Amino acid sequence: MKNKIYLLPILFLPLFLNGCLGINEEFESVRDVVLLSSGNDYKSEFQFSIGSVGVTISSWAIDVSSDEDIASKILDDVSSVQVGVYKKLRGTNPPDFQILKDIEPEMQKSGWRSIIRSSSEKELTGIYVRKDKQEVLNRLFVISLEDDELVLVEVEGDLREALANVIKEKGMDIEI
Amino acid sequence: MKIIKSTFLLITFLAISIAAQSSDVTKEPGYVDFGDLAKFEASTGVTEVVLDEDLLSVLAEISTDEDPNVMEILNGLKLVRANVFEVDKKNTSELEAKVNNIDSKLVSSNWKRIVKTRSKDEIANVYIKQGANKKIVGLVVTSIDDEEAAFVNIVGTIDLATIGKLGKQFNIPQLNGVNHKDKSDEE
Repeated sequence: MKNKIYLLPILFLPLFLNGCLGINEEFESVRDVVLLSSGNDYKSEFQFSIGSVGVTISSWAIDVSSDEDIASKILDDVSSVQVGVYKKLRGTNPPDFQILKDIEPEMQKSGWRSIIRSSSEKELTGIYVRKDKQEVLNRLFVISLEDDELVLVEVEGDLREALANVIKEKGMDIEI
Repeated sequence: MKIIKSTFLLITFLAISIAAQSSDVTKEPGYVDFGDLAKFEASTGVTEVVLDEDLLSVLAEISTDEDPNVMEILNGLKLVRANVFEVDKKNTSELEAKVNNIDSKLVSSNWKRIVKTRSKDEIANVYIKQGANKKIVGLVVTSIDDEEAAFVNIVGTIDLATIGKLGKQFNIPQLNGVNHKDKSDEE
């Protein structure tokens, strides 16, 4: 019996280190809608999700490796992250604002609302937020489509720091 | 019993209606419907920013470290909406017409134009809407030059003295101009 007790931490280890698991169904469905609307063919470079422990380790890594205070601060408050990076295989459709318009109904159906949508000749960015049942903004979804690459990131947790930074970086640059 | 039930239902219905109305920013006096901007979304560069009360309060919370006054400014706001379009040969005249249409609409509906700039290359207007107690409850900036056209609506209580700070916070140079103008007037 005593020997079996030693096995318990090993059995529970995956629960704590839910580090590099696959993305969830909801993330997949957003990815599918974006890929379909883009009209191009993409292949997955990598896609993964990081749980709370993985996020903490990542923030340590950032602390040690660089002086990126903002990234580290954001990661401190985040409980999970999902990331997908997709490389363009075929297709000539440019990143067009219409893609963001096309996916809007699907995003709204899942409770996402856009706060920033922008397109330029080479890049398309959509930033969406979502509230939990207690009406707290706790999820952020970023879609970034460039000529040859699509990057999707979903962040969950206390997003105040992340939102403030995203808005400052992307949203407020209204140079008139 | 029926009367109690009907009264209860009526009160519930009224409460829901009032709650829905109070959260509907489009009913606010400072809100402006710019009309159909979708036709300009075919332009190469398009940016749309929509920050509602929840997000602005998040920003306010974070901003306290940098400037305590910013928190106060942001907390009074209910919506910040900006639509920016890259100007090209195809859409220039339509965007100019849009800027002029909005000008007529706002001026005829008791909005006060506080900045008007017209040159060969640029048109820029800033408008404010005052509430019953003379407080500013809405602000609109429309602008077009040879690169970009922008339509900005800020809804909520705005202090004229802090308009410049709003401009700094949201990177709207026209509002910075208002602030400087006021300062020079004071001097």
